[in-house]
Amino acid sequence: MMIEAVWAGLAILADPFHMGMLLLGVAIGLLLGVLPGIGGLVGFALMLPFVYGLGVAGAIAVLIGMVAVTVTGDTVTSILLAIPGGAGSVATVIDGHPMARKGEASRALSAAFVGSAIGGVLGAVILAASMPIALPLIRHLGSPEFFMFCMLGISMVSVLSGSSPLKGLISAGIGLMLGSVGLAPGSAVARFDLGILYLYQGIPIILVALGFFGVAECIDLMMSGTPIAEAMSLGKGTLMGIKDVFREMPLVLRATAIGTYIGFVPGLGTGVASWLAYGHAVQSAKDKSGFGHGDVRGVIAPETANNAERGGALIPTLAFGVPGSTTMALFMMALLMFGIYPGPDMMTKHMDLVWVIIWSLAIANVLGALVCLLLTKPLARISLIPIHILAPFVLMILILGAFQATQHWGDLIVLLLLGIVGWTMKQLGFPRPPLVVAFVLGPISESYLFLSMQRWGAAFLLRPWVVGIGLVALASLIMGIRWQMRKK
Amino acid sequence: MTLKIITISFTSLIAIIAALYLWEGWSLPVVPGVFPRVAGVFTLILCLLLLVRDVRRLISGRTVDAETGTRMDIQSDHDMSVWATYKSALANFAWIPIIYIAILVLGFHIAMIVFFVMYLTARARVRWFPILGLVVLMAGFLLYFDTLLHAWWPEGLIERWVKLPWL
Repeated sequence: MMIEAVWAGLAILADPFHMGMLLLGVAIGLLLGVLPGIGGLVGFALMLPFVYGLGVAGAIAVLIGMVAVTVTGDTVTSILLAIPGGAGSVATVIDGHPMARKGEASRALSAAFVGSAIGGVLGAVILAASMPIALPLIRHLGSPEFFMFCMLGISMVSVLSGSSPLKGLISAGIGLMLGSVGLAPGSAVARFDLGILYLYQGIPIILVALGFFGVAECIDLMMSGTPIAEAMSLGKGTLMGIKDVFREMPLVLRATAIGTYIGFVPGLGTGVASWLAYGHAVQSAKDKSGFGHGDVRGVIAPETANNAERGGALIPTLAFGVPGSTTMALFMMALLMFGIYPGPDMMTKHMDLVWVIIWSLAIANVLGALVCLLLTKPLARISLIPIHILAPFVLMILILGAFQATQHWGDLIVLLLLGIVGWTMKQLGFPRPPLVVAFVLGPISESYLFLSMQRWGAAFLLRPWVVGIGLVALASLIMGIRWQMRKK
Repeated sequence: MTLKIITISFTSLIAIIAALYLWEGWSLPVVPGVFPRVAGVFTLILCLLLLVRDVRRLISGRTVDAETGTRMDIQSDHDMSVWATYKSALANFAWIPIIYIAILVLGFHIAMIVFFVMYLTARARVRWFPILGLVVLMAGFLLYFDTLLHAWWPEGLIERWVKLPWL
């Protein structure tokens, strides 16, 4: 019955109309992904009113096609301009932009696109393989385990601090403080809002990404007055990037696994997946000296993981009707419009549609990567444009992207303030990645902690999976600190 | 020396903010207050440790060891003195509030045109014809945002008083 559903799903998607919808979704997804602050969520919101007339398979094709590749399109501005296209591509900036500055933009872009495609396709495969075992697995996982997953993510700050562990941990502390602004999870108490209504909802993640990285890097480039790259290095182009991915295939597979299983945990998202993959790439590398200076592994790992995360996020959405993110919640809304109820009902009565989703995810990732690969060389040339010609466009994109967060002047003011802090931190050697990780994971872990304490009290810490994941998190933290101490 | 003083000042500022954060965190009820208390204590202690380390180095006149090993962030490579770097940064950051004031008064569309012309003339020293081309490119980009994405724009005072054709 499963085999029949696999081929039935492919047959439905192979219909020219549905394939056309998939192509449309991929095109929209790539265009949206390139624009910072505008990603899959905005795309969903734009497309939802129109999908009802497409039929359920057509709607699935266009929506999944779009959401699968926004994280691929995100990469372009991350690498070329150091402007993260979204939360999932902030980690790519750390090594991707230095590669562009060394004239290796083509290599970085092609490595990112091919890594994204493989991660996305394998993520779809893992999604497919996980379906039979997902239900018994999810019975063992609850808020205590998800809390410990967050602690595992936070333990990565010891690795992401690089050679400045004290400054790195202070950055993480700043991230935790920023992340707790707004309404406290689990209670109606407003914290640290300074009496300003704008801060009631907290600081949007996109402002943290655009401010700390986008504005800070833009200002540095404007100060230098030189193009992003002085010249394009010969022999360092598209083909080399593709070879890099196949040479680093073990890392690609591990990053895929990280991305998929992070996607499985509700609320974590592409940002966490990409940072965990990046941290793992550093931890597992024998020669770590290149990271932060333009190491292609620092591009491959996060880009693979953030595409794989999409497949992972679909597991709880389809299997249990639990959306892992706002984007998945909108996707569920689209399915409900057609009378399809995600969860056990869908898994028994509409297995063919589940396979339409899986096939759409896999094919969209391949198509998205192919389109992007064709555009790699022309895109890479952006890095040669004099910065004073490019800077007004970059600033305009930053301001536009920031304003889409809540359409409030507060977005622009926060963007400037975070940009100033981010630039200052960069000059003084306070690494920014731990801040971003702590900012994202702090509120999420607090939510899970609240739920765990409400349900189990402190006894939640004794659950077997919690202990297991906790030991892994502790080992990761200790190994990271020991590695730094050995360097000194 | 200057860089050390700036680092100490920045760390002190973070320590003060962490202390205020902790103070407010203690005044919250238990449930919403747990995380702020932990984060505040954590950050304050680390800031104090860093301050002690840096102040001791400043007093002893020890130069800060060059940081070897992996740096997990993009590096700055300005060939300028510390004061020149910060002065240049201030001059470049100043463009952003100028854009904001222009948006406030003129609205986003006109502000962008004015900003493009000002910046390309003053910094890029580009002639009028290429400026016109770049402004048209920018306008095309904004049109794409408008028609396809229905993006939100910050509204200006002039846009509130005068009905402009594209609104």
